[in-house]
Amino acid sequence: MSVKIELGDLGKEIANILDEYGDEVYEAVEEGLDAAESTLINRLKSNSPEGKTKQYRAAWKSKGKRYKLKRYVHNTKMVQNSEKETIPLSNILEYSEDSKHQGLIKRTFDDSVESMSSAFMEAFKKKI
Amino acid sequence: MMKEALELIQSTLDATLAAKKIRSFWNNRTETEDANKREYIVYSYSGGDVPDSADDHDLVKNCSVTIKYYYEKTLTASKSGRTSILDTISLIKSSLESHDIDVSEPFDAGDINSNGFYAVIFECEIWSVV
Repeated sequence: MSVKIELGDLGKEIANILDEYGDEVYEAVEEGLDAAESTLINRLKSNSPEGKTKQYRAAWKSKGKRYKLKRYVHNTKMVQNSEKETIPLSNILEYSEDSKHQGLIKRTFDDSVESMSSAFMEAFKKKI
Repeated sequence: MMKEALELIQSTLDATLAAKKIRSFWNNRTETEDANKREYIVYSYSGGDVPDSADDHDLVKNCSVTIKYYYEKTLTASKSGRTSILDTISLIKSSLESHDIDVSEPFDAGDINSNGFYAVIFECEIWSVV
């Protein structure tokens, strides 16, 4: 297909085409990030300790699309310490000196990088 | 690599925080006589030593270290205490960065040990050429 463009409008037309292409790439990256994020959330869910209630495992969530071209994953399970302060359980499990799960979140993330990249590329290519 | 990385962390923190008498410990805190009892640091190896390669040649290795800066909760009751905490956090970050250590933005993890101390976490990556 060919498009007829008046010479005087060339610069404007190129800018429009680039804009459209930029939008497509942006949307493809967002889809890729969603896929990568889902991969990480699933890995975190399967690697996390179950506990009695299994609430911690189920509490891995995305913060959604409130940040452009970024994704944040967090665990929403909160607990109270001996002084009735509320604290994320993930902080205790990941960093407390007495936790037998120290560093598990970081290790899970590190081990998931390749599969997140694959998930990203697959979703990205589908869009482009 | 791990040994060198941990030694670099220890020497950097010792030099930076000597004036405040804040002691740094690998894995476990131990009592020291002249130490600041209200603030201390525990750091631990958290992964790495995985080489990055190109054309079947190892180029660099990295080592991850988690640093936990603990301060007594009561320090937050005074303005000078709060200022000192922020100053220490800033000192730790800048001193590590000055040794080419990649440092995450520190974050408050709360009283993770239920011992009356709040923890501020720094995740560090140390890279070395193989």
